[in-house]
Amino acid sequence: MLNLVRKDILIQKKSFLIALVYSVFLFAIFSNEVFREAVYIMGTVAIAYIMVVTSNAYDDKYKSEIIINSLPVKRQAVVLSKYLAAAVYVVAGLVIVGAMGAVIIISGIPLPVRYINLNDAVFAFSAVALLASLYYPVYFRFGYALSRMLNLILFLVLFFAPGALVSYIRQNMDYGTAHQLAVRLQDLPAWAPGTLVLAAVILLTAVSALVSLKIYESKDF
Amino acid sequence: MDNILEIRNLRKDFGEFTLKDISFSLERGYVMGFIGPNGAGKSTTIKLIMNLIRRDAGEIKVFGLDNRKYELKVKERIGFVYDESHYYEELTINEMKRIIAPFYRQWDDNMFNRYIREFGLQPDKKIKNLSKGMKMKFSLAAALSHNADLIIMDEPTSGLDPVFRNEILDIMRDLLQDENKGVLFSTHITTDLDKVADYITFIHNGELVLTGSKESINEKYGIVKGSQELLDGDTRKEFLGIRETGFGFEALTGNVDRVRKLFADSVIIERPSLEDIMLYTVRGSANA
Repeated sequence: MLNLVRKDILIQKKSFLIALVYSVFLFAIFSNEVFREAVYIMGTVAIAYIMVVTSNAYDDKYKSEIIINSLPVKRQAVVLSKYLAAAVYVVAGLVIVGAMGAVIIISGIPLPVRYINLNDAVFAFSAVALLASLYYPVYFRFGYALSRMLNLILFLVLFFAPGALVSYIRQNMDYGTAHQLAVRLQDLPAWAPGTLVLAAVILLTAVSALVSLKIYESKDF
Repeated sequence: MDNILEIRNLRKDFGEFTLKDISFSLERGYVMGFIGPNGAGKSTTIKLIMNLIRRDAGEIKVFGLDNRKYELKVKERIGFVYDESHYYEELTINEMKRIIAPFYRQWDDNMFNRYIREFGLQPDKKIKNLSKGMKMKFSLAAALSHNADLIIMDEPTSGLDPVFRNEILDIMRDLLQDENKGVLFSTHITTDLDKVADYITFIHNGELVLTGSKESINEKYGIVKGSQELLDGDTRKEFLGIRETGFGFEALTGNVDRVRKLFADSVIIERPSLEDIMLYTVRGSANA
């Protein structure tokens, strides 16, 4: 399985260069107050996203799954390696973006940047796990071209949904209900929301992997 | 008998095309040519052996082991070459090798480098810059560098010029110096088989037409030439395919002895080439 992850990295060495260049611009573009807090998360998610899509694009372009599945390797391993690779890309993204942030602070470039922290890592992991869980079963079932469309939709939803949700709540919920909801959320212990989200993400990823395995097991090349 | 590959009643239904209960086997130390016109089901059969598609029924045993139950063990000892390269073309030969090598426990880097040199390949050249023949040679080098006992090749010679084709065939012949190995290769170029194949399996429209050693095929099959008067409703049934001209007929039989008894000296019987067998059979079934 590690050989398969290694393969996905070796076929897209260029992506690491792109990620590096991208992270330079990242801090300049998202330096306003709204995005500043989320810059590490957005950067990492974007880098992981690029890497997932790029490796699959190469597999699709050369129909290389025919080669891969002719090697002494189980289909199970092919599927699980894609999930594992996504996690590796998150780590790569965190390292690249985190290092770039540190370089900016240390070199005294006048941008409002803080150091990367554990929260960023947890959020980035959760976001990518969520995206990958929705994306991979579609990719394994319908192939690269169709899954790319889904990807675009997911990406847009991820960017616009939170804003849309907030404005919907503002318009349609009276102040009392909203206030009550907020209070109730505050009543929860500090660890609760994060833990709940994390548990949900792990569950979703597991279900997604099972679905992908089932799909790939009966696939004809 | 020590079969390196054994296929029994293999079936796969695609809806518009069905591979119908194919059976054949290959002994160690021999080359089997797998022939048939385009679309006959050659690639389907090979993909079924490689477990790239799932069979509906039947049995595939490689080295005596079920190809699905013992998938890893079996694939460890198979070298494969496909008609298209399917490699990541942005990579160089060496980079691609570094991806493939760790999958095989018995990968032999020295052997790979020897083949690369022998084939005149440049290891730092990108795969996309290789000619079709060069790509084929790279595939072959990869297939031969992990001590595989069974080499499976799907149309390795198609689209290659005669010089390249002969080189590939020579390599195959060299390989068989080792009596533990076996080669299954599909082609629609029958002259390839005259050069290297010991056994022939011929399929058409998803059905097995014949399988056996080249000698046994040569003994059984014959091109029969005679005058038109000999052909009637009954005698026609004796032939697998008939070509009629103004002067007489030429036909393929799968039972030379019987034809000899039936027509005695009134016909001439010649040894058919594999191409004859393929052409008459394909045409025969089209007329039927």
